[in-house]
Amino acid sequence: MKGVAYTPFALIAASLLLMLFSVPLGANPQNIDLQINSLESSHTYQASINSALTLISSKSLNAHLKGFNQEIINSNNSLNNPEQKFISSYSLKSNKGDTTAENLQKRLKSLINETEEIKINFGEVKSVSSEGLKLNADQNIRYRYTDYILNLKYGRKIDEVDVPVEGAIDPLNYFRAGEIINYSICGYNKPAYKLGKARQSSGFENVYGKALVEPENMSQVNNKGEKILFSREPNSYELSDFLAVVSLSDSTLNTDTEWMAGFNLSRPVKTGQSVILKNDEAYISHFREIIDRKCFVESEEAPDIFQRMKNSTSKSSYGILTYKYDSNASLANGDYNLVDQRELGVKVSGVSSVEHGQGERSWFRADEDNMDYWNLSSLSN
Amino acid sequence: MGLKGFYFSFDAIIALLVMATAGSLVVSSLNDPGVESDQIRFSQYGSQATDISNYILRRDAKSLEPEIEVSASHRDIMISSFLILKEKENTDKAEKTARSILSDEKYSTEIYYRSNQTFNLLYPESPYNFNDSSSSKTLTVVDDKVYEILVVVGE
Repeated sequence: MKGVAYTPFALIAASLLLMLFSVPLGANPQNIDLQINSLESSHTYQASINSALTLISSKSLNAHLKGFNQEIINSNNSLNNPEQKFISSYSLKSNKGDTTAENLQKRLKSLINETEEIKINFGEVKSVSSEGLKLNADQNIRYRYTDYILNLKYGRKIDEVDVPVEGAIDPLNYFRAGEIINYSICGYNKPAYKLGKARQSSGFENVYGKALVEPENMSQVNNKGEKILFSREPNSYELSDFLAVVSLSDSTLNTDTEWMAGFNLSRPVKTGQSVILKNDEAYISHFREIIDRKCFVESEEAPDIFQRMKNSTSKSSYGILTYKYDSNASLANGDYNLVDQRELGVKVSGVSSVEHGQGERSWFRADEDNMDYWNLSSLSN
Repeated sequence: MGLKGFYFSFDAIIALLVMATAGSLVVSSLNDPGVESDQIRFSQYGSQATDISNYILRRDAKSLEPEIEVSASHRDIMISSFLILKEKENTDKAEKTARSILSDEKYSTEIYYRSNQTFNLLYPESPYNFNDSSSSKTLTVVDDKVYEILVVVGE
């Protein structure tokens, strides 16, 4: 009797096992593959939400910086505690386009299906710091995405937003030189890079010209007098017309023009790049580009974005600077942050003084500390 | 007597477990229609669509060089943003970019974008009118505005 009584329990247990077995075994590899595809597609979409929210927040903060610095310029007063004022005056509701929290929420809702849901919560910016031409904002952004068809829920928290700074006015330049210069990034870390060193040279200083690397058809090369030829076999060319010749082989060159031989390239050089030759060394130069574009490079020997709001020229680990031409000869230029301290600047070979080549900018001075920081002190003179 | 009852029921459980296992295998094999060619193709359409979405979301515009000329100011933006920027400029640059991205893909691909309810065809010039297709979508930001890009793959 007891055996009979136990058997129904056994049947129930076995039935449950039957159900458990039948579910996973019913999932064929193709179904699993489709599920993985759906998950991958959903994951990609979620990553794009993440990226869009971060970008929107970043653009919103950059827009805020533009307005903030414009107000500093309008008031003509520097700030004592710019970081705090920058944060307290910031709101995602005060900008244009989708860079307001409300508009962004509306936009995203219009872009998702009825079977999806997205909820976003933009927290306040708790702190902000600068790092070169970039702001780091400690901002809490949370969102929750639900896909009811795929039965997926995805939540994410973004704690930090990097803001590439572009377009805001530099207050320091305005305070010191009365000039409006907008922040823009140069795209390189320093104003010149050492290309390499030669074993011997004809002995010269301060050559500036454009690189011409192994030309295929010499008859198509114009303005040879402004060009510095880089070649492994320079003797196969007619050399006398060139501004200078840099031979990558050891053989001495028989030419009237300035030359270097046994040159050891430590980085690639391309045709058209600006090159400075000094003694037995060659450099790729961006000095003129920085001056002409008024773009910014990073230096630990210059003030950072928030110090500029304070009208301070103190050095910062995250400092930035540009070079500018000042029409007032008595202040003619060096680093923009030293615009009123010209005596501290040094001449730069191939820029302030050009013995061979064109484009001398005799007014130009660079801060010696910056030249040391960039390992370019051998170009100072 | 009680112990005997216990042994009988234990035997029954073991026997039924064996039967259940065998039964489940039979049921699952009956339920499994096998892998059909349509399903395989659909899965591959989905994979390709997701791969393309991932690619345009995670790669910078500079990775398009040298096939596509990219200005210095656009080098660091995502390909998805670059596509919409170029489409807005109303040149053939968006089409060239799409063609470059899709050159090695197996199945035909359409790329749509929208900032509201209406989808706009970015590539190709006219739709393929697929019989079977699968899609993948991503969001991107251009000039402070959020856009959705929909990649549709099919035949």
